Amino acid sequence: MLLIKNGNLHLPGQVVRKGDILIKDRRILKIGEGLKEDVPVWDAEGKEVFPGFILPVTSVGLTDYANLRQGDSNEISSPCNPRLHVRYALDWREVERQKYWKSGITSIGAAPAGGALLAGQMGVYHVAGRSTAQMCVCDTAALKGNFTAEVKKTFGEKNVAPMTRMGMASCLQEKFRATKEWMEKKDAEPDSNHEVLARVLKREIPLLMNVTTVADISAVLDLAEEFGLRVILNAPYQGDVAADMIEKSRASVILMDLFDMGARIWYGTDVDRLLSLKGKVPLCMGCSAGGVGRENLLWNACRLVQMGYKAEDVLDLMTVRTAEVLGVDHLIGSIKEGLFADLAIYNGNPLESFSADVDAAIVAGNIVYDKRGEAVC
Amino acid sequence: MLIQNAKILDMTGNPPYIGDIQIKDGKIVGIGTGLSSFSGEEVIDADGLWALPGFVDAHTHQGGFDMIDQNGMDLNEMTDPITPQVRAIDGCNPFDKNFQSVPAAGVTTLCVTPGSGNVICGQAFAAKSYGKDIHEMAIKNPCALKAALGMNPKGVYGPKGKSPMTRMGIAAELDQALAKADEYRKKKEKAALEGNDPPAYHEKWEAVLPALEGEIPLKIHCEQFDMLTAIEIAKKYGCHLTIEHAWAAKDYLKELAESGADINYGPVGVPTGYGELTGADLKDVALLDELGVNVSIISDSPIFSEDILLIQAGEAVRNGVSPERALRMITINPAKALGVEDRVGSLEVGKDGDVVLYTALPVQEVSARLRYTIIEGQVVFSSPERS
Repeated sequence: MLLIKNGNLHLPGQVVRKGDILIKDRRILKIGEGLKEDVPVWDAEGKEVFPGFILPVTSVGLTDYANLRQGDSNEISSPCNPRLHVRYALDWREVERQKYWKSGITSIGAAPAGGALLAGQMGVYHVAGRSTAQMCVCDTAALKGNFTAEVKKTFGEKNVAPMTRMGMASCLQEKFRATKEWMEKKDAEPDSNHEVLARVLKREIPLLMNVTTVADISAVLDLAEEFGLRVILNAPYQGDVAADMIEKSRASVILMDLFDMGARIWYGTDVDRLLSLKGKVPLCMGCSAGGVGRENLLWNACRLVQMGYKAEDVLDLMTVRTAEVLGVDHLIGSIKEGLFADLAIYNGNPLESFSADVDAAIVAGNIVYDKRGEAVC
Repeated sequence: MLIQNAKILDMTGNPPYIGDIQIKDGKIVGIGTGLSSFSGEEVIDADGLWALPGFVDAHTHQGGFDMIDQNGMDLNEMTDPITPQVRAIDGCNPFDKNFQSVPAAGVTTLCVTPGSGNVICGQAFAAKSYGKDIHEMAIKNPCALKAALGMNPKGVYGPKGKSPMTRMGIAAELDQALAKADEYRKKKEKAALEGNDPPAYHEKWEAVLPALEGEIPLKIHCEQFDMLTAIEIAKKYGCHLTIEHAWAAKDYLKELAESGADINYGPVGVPTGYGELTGADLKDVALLDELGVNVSIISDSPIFSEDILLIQAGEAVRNGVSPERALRMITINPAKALGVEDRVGSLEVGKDGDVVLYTALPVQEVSARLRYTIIEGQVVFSSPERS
């Protein structure tokens, strides 16, 4: 057990001065003022206590930086592999090496990379722990897919379908139709790919799709409508142009990384227009799925503050809203009784001042980083 | 142009003060309190705004790396590991969208350098960030001879079964090229002394001469222990050195300080892997700065967009650098590293009228907004006032 005392607590919709958080069995047991328990105390007087930040989609942990050419994030042996699961590729040590907690991040959405049309199942994991089981927040949060030029390139260059966006759309339609038939069959053979697609068709898990252009977005939304799927659009660079379409569809949105590859500037994305969807559809901050470090999520958040967004609203976009988009808001993303005790404790507000730095990070109730005594993990 | 009542941080060591900046014919002609305007002069009321020198980015590939459209890759001539003769200015399109976004990031001077695909990659140049003609925008060309160690050249030539395939090969290739160029230089000198015909013109070695003669530095991409290789080779040929990226500089502080090299650090915000992919941490710039090393922060744009320059300076503040020192790392320090400190990097009479006006100190307050970017007295970016 652990008692965080007298911190400025960033609770849902309000900041409580001099509040306490009692942690037991990895979870937040109680939030209040003047709590007294005979347990170790972490004095947070004058500190800002935030829910741990969430990196929504990343392949870090699956990349195998020691052997980049044979990483574990990108199975492209065929275009559609829904049965694959990140659980078997997530290297806890690679995650640990990032020291995500030093930038306030306590959870990541670990997802297969961008080569395949249906790339595999993704999960949400804590950034500390010595196995996927220990790190697990939600083992299967979504089926990850990619409706982007990268898929065309991967397969088209081999003269294998899909070579075009037409090919990508028809390939997806064919897969979902086949699974529907499989579901209706009385004595169907077990099939691990169909089983996963059936979960998507039954809306048990969403389909998280990387998209770029308006064409990508409209093709994916069309598919979602035809089959009644829940869809999360990841990094929709032309989502500003498609904003009305997205609003109508009620699809969730994960913003693009604002810096990566200068792509936002290349596409000329009107970030304000995209953010106008906030409150209309589930929407959260994003970060490049590929090669970015621990700092980038907070930098993206700082950029939104530079653009004029309020610090507390931006904080929501990297905590509670992210948890909503990934369907794990009952587990992480807020300082709330019953949720995982995932906390980023800063000596100021990093969305207001660049001087503010992490003093301590708590992941599932464990202090994984403590500046007073240096790293604990 | 007269900028009135700004809170001026001139980056010459003066504390901030409220004052005016007068710019005429592109140059700062007055800076201080109570300046009066000439008739017909453009006046900017900067009451409540901070005036800083326009930012300087010592390492970009703007205008020559189109990361989305592969037809736009024009700064990596990966056909020969030794290409000192190629010039970044010939591969740089100032109408590239990312290039055009640079003034909105507060950056008024940038170095555009060839990429790191070759061992000697070509000639970098320094330019202003706004204009139509890259040759008019350039303020120093070349400003450095770019070279690269480590996985970039290895990754280009190794898979083809060509040298360099290893770090050993890279060091040998670089050393041999500089030795040949030095030999060429000596032959030329000797011929001039003796009144004989010079050796036949060699386009590669001609391009190396300014680095051998100390006019421009060797600008070497290196991380980790490759930094020691760079220091050794630069020293052998008497070249001034700027170390680019410099991840894990904290392991080589003594050697770096003794070498006299300028350090152009970053970008950070990269995943931690193994070997070369470790130690990208802005804590390093705090340590280097304390040792008196001329250290700058770089964006490597458009690999990251230009906005990352200022945000990284903010991250340096988070890592214990004072806001004033962090600002130096994106103004006067890179100006020195590029050899253009006579024109940019601080606000002083006689220097170019390159000024940025922010609503607050931007390396301190996250919400600080850029209101004006001014290059040589011309407003090249402005944003509306917001209540």
